[in-house]
Amino acid sequence: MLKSTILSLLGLVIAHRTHVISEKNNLFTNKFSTLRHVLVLFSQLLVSFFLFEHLHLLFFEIVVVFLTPLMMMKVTIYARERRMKAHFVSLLDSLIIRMRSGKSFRDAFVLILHESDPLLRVLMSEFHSSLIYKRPLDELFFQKEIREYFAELAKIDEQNHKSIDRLRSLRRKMKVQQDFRQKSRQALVQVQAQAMILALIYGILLIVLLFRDDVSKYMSLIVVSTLLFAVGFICLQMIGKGYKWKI
Amino acid sequence: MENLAPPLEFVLHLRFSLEKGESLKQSVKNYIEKSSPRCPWSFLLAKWIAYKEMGKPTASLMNETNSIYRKSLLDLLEAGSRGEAIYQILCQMEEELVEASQNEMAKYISTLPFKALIPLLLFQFPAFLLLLLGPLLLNFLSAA
Repeated sequence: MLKSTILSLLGLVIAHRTHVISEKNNLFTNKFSTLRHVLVLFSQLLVSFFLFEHLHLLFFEIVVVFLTPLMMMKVTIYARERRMKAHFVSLLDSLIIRMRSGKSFRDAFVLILHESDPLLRVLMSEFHSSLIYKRPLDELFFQKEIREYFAELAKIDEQNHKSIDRLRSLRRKMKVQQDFRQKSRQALVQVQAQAMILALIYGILLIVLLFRDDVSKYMSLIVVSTLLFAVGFICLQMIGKGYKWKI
Repeated sequence: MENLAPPLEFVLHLRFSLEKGESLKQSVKNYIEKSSPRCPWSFLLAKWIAYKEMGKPTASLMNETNSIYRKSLLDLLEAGSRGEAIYQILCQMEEELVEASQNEMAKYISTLPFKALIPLLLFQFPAFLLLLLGPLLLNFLSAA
């Protein structure tokens, strides 16, 4: 009883910590922050209530809640940077248009920052604060490419000479890169989709076979077949990855 | 295939750097720093820079690549290092490289269905057959 109560209280503290870390790292938008906080604590209370008798399960749940922010942070950061990569050319377009209408680089950037979607806004506001407080970009972005993109923008802001021309030439370079990547991805996606569908069908067949009563008779057959399928699947996934350009 | 062709990547980088006002040598050095050390093209460029700094002739480097685009780029770098204007030629080369890359990509994409067929026929098809017909065959053999 005492152990379960202490563990439940600990669960509440950890749920609160999870919420605080998520807010601090801007994992969610600022909207409904209080409501979300109440929901997190309430769900933890409910889980503690239902698992009050099962000490091990309650402990496992608390460990999961403890590790959640770390996993969520990784996933969210990856999603944000991936989105930024896809939208960088349109960000440059908007910057060029704003600057053509007479705005400075920073003013144009702030205007776009307020209009951008929440996922991108976090990265953009971090970049904006790095411009003001001269923070190194390495701390802000995990992906090398994103760091390079923003490093170019930081240089344009710093040197303030022929900014529009430089933005245009950066845009042109990015556009060529983006178009090529898109085309090659489109081609490879078909092969990978084919591999996924085959894997799904194979998985269903395997499950059906595994639920048969006399499964032990065919175990060696299943192992060989799974190994063969896995090799084929890996080969299909590898197509196009290590391509060496001839030109 | 997900990455750009190294010469095209280099031309894009070089053009952007020259437009920013960087020197030719500095842009080449920056490209080498950014690119993967295992890339043969950036290794060749590193050699070119090293030869230039040692005052050695760079003509022998032409034999280290078969691609006419890479050879022409080395020629262009050579002309640039002599102080000749290369920007216009670089812009034209970019267009040619984009076209060449597109052609190579189209050629590769046309062979993709056949390449995808090899693991399918060699591994996945037998795996399916084993799973579907294996138990039947075993039962048949044990009954016989």
